[in-house]
Amino acid sequence: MSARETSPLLSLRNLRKRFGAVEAVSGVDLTVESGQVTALLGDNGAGKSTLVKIVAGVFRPNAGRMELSGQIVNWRSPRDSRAAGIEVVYQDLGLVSSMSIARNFFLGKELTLYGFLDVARMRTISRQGIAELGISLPDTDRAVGQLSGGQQKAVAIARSLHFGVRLMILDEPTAALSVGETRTVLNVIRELRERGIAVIFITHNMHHALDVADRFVVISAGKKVLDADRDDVDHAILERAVVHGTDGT
Amino acid sequence: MLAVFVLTALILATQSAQFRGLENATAILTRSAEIGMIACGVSLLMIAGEFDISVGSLMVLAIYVFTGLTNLNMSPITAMSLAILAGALAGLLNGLVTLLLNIPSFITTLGAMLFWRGIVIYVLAGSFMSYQGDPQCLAPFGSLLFSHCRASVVWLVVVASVLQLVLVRTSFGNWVFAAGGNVQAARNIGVPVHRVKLTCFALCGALAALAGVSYVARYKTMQVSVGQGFELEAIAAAVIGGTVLSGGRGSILGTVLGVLFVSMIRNGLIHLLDSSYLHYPVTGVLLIIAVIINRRISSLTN
Repeated sequence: MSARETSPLLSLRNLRKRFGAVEAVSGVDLTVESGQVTALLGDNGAGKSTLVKIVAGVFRPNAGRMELSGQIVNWRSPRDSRAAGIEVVYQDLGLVSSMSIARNFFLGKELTLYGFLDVARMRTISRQGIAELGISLPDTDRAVGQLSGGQQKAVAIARSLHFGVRLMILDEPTAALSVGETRTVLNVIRELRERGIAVIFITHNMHHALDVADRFVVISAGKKVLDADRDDVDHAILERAVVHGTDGT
Repeated sequence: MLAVFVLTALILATQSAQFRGLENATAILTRSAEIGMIACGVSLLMIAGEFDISVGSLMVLAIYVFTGLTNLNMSPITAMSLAILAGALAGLLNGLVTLLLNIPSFITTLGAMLFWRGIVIYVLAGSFMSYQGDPQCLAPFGSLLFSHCRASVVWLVVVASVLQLVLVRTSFGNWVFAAGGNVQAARNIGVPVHRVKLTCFALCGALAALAGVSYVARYKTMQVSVGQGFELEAIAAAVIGGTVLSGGRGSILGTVLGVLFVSMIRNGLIHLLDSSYLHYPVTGVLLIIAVIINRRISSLTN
């Protein structure tokens, strides 16, 4: 195997991020492999979201190293990370509720024809992309704010899938969803793994994590306290790690 | 909005003989040209989620730069360009202070409003100033096309059409709506929010300056109080035309319609009542009604 294939898709070394006096992420190491679902668990304020935003290029770390396929990367903005194939579905979905489905779908990566928006193609592709998730939406000109929570999630996930994703980060994708919608989202995660995409699945719900994840990472007070494979954890171990910030053993 | 506009026009036309006819209609258009250019910029900025209430002062600044430089024997075309540049830079400065220092744009531009007009008043010692350059150079703005319709109306049509096109048919326009609609989401998805907003601030300043140049073409003379109250009328017109104060929604065409509406009401009241004093109270009531209607519409769509 070549060096490129042996190095993990994403590798974080001693990553740190400070906001004023608070260190939200204090020296986290993490590797993420393609075709693997990594559940990222932790209590509120543990540093999960900050960590994700560093990987996505929203925040720049104060220290540490980030490698993608063995190459050191330094994002200046989410634009860079998206260009490299990292997509994040945020808890608030990153959708603009006053804008149409098609416009949200292509936000920041608009399709143009002679400098003008190619609205017809944006409509068609966004409709197809969302339909692939098994969800049909009546009209892609509808404002996103008019959709149900599950439909909005579908728009956000379909958008990420469309843009040639290598690493998909889902921040609380099952929060506030119905049972049926939750099942759909978990199936989407399984399908991403089948396609060889790396998934970071952030959740509070350990049942959902145990349901789909291959690997479990627990963050507490900005530090990694547990990093284990599916076979080495159970509900009790994970819960102890999340609540007490110990490795659960 | 269009229906209300047409209906009001019809009512006024049936009630007042002076209101009917080409002369008065074109006078309304000409009166709307300058405030319209300003309102287009203000509306664009409001859609992007920011305010500029310094536009009246930026207008007077541009008038001062334009008239002053021409009177120093600079070519009016160069002076015009520099005046518009000055407006754009002052607008950009509003944006930089707002975004880099994280100050609400309402406050930044309130300061800018006092500052720029204050500077012009100080330099001119509160007096007035007349354009002494080649009158021919003002023709592209000031010449009468027909009846009372001046060339400045064409400028408004061009400005509004281009901005509307940019807003709904380009990536930049998409980013403007996103920046005003949900700034966090826009930033996370990779929209260069700061750059978008700065561009809007600069455009808003440049359009206020363009309105200033157009004003000089019409009156050839300026007082330091020129454009006072324009900022509020522009915001009122934008809101009446459907632009939302909190950003993310609105249209340039609606704004122009709002400007025409306000101008028409003012003109109609003058003819009906022989008094211009009722114009502000009526506009005030219309503004509030427009906001109530906008609220209703947006609560229906959410």
